[in-house]
Amino acid sequence: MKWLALFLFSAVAVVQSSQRIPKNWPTPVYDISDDNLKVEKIHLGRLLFYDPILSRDGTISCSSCHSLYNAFAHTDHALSHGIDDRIGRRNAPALMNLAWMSSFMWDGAINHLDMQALAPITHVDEMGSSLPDLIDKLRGRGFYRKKFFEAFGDSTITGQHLLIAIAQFSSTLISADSKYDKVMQGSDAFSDAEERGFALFSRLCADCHIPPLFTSNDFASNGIPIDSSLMDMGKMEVTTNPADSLLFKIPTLRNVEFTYPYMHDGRFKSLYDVLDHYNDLKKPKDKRLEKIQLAENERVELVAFMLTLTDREFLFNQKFAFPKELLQPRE
Amino acid sequence: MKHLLFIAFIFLFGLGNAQDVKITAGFGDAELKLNQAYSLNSNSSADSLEFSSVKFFLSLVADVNEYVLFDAHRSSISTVQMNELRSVYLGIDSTTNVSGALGGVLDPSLGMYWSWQSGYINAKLEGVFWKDGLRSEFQFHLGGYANPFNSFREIKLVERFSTVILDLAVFSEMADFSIPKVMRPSELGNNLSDCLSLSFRSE
Repeated sequence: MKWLALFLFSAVAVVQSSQRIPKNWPTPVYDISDDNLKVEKIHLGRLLFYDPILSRDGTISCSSCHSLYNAFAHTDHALSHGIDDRIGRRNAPALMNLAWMSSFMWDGAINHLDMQALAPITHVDEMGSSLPDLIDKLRGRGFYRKKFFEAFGDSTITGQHLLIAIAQFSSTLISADSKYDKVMQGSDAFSDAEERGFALFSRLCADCHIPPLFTSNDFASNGIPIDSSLMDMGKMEVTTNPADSLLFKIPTLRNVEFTYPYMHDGRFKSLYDVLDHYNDLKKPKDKRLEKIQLAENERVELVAFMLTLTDREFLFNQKFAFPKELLQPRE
Repeated sequence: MKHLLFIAFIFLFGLGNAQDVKITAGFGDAELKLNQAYSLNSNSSADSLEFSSVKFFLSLVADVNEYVLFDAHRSSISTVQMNELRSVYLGIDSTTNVSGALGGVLDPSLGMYWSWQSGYINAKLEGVFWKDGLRSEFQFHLGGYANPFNSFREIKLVERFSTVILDLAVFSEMADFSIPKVMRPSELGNNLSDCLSLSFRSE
């Protein structure tokens, strides 16, 4: 009887830990099983994500440029907006399905989800802080000493624990419940326009924006000319390899309806602007782009399909929203 | 009494292969002094120099690997107890570099981790140098775990040793100070990492 109970208990545990990985999705890069993720760590990460204590002057939090209602992108801001109204060089990307990403940033400079938050926390145009300063501030708050203890069994706040908590929260931002997903699972159906758009998408776009993640996690040049004021060389800025010149991370298209403006520098305001860019490309260096020739009705159908990637369960998920605990009076 | 015997037993047999390894930095035969001017040979790229900061990681490979962060500002000698020490490397290996947020001396808050791109800074050497009467500051931040800019280097050791010494006199004669700011994985950083790894001796 005891063995039976143990068996059932293990079976339940296995089911629970695999629940986070959507059906038919690849194995994530970041371990999102229950062996790694812990409710208290995720919650601490959520508190830190929404707390402007992360910035040098206490004005900017991660959520300042990554808001839930637009899939953690930054509506109407072409370039990221930091402390002292400083403007960065790149568009704040949407945050979702990060556990499946093997590198981060438009240029792939970050190699692990744990290490991602370090860049915006310390960048002079973003939060302008430093890890030692931030740790000092957090150590001065009984609220955080308690939360770190609950999460890690240690009230001594360290850089490692801070970064792991933010990464764990970020890894739970999974979007896999769009109309597209429901159609694939057989519980919904595309309209005629969406169906034609899906066929176009599969033929013209899916080389780079591969379902179900709608990215290949790779880097590419999509033919947009360099902005002469930003002089952003993309991946080459990290590797110094000329072959990486103007290569940028291929973004996911999930929730793309809400992640405008588009491209690494936010130069396009609408999906139609993006499609016009591809349509008008003359002799693109990346041969995968040559076949994109859309008639007027095809533009509309392609956009109709892309709107099926909107996941309202994700966009309104209260587990990802501002934690009201942060409103408690500070000690 | 039983406990005492047990402890004695552990001391006699359990730690039979354990050894203390000291890690330190010097200039020639003298102990390194920060912010003190040292004269160099006439064929060096600087006439004289002083160090304001000397920090480096050593990876000690044994049954259980250890990472040591030497910081001349904090302590002139780091001591670590090792069992069956097999080899010593300057810096942090590539696997550790892609393993996310780590703790202890590998905690990214200790100033030896780049924030704009992932990766440990294997060594930080900073200070000022004089050449033909001109004073310049130098900052060498050496790191990089991926080819072609992998700066992880094995350190050659004598057979039996108890101390690993970074001789900055050797480094100062070999290094090229004419480009005094090297702060990213690069060819220049690779060259300086070669110089630095060849500046260690064991005794």
